[in-house]
Amino acid sequence: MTVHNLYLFDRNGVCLHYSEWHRKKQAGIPKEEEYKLMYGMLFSIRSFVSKMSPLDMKDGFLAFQTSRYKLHYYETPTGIKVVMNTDLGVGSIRDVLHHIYSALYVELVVKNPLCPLGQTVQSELFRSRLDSYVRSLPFFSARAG
Amino acid sequence: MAIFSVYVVNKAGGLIYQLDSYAPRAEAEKTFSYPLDLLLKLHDERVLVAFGQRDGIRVGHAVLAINGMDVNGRYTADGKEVLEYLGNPANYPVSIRFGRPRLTSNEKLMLASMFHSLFAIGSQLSPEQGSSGIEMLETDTFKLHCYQTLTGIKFVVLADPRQAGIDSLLRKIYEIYSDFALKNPFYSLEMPIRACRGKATVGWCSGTWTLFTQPSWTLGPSWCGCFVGGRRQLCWLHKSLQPPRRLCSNCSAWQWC
Repeated sequence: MTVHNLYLFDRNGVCLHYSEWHRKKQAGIPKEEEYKLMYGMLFSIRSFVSKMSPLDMKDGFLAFQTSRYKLHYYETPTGIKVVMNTDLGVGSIRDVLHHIYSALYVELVVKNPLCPLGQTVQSELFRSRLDSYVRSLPFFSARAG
Repeated sequence: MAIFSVYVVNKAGGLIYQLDSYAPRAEAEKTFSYPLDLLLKLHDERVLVAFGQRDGIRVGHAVLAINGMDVNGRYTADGKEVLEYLGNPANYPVSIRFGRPRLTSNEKLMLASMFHSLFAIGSQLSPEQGSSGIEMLETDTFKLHCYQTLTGIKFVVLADPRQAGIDSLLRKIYEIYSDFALKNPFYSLEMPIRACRGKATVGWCSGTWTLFTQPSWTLGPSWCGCFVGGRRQLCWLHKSLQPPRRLCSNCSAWQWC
């Protein structure tokens, strides 16, 4: 099991943070374009899912998987979106994504007066805490380095 | 545990077949007096609740009926505009039924091609080499399963999140598509599939490929293409033989089921 990468978007589609661990293939487009494509895809999936649903939804879109990876999605009521790509063996990681939001983003960015909201997070503390948190996850494979 | 819908999308993203199999969604009917304590707005040619969630009426629900009369889009069945009608104090008290908006066939076409693009983007954004598009999409109310064949046709099934065995269902739908749509000589590729019972299929009879008007396993007669005596002959299903086969009433050829 591995974690490939993580995106953090705000409600306007700005990519607040991106980090990658075991990513074997790049999208072949500049990073900024990739963020836009990812946000656009999630935006469309959200509207697609809300129209397709036979019942009223609570959490909405949770995850999708292809033959090679699984994308986990978590959105807060304020519109912050946490997206993590892992391999297929990982089950539901809602609590992990919620922890990244509540214990890392809120504590280290929202409560930090030196971090302006709505822009890429510059905080080195947030970056390193997030990295060590993801590396400590049970499904983060150590062998792939 | 249920299957909600089935979609078949061709390789260009067009919807060629669609089936819904769920009971009407939760609906709420309530009688209101003049000023209406809900905020309604027009969105996509439908009257939706914008504010004032109460008694099973939720934001995003559409007005389905007024005083028992169905509402089509923004007009009632007798041609009155919904918002105008509800804005007039003389029409109160009024009974309004709310529910999740039903998908129109145009919306289904749009959603099918939308999924076609999402499928492609899902594979482009893959962090791993050689990824397919979206195979399974999970939400809290349903799971969407998609199987793309080598020829690019997508079979999409919406099912309950706990429903198992969808993969084999998708393969079975592909099989049925191959047997009863592709082998139908009147079917043109990439075009909508008109599903009707007793449709034509091709079978082996009289030592040649022939046209049957029924799938080989259904009861009742099917037409054999041997054209003896200037017209096609009936083939009957014989269940007494194991496995059951069809017997042409003229050429006495067996058709395998």
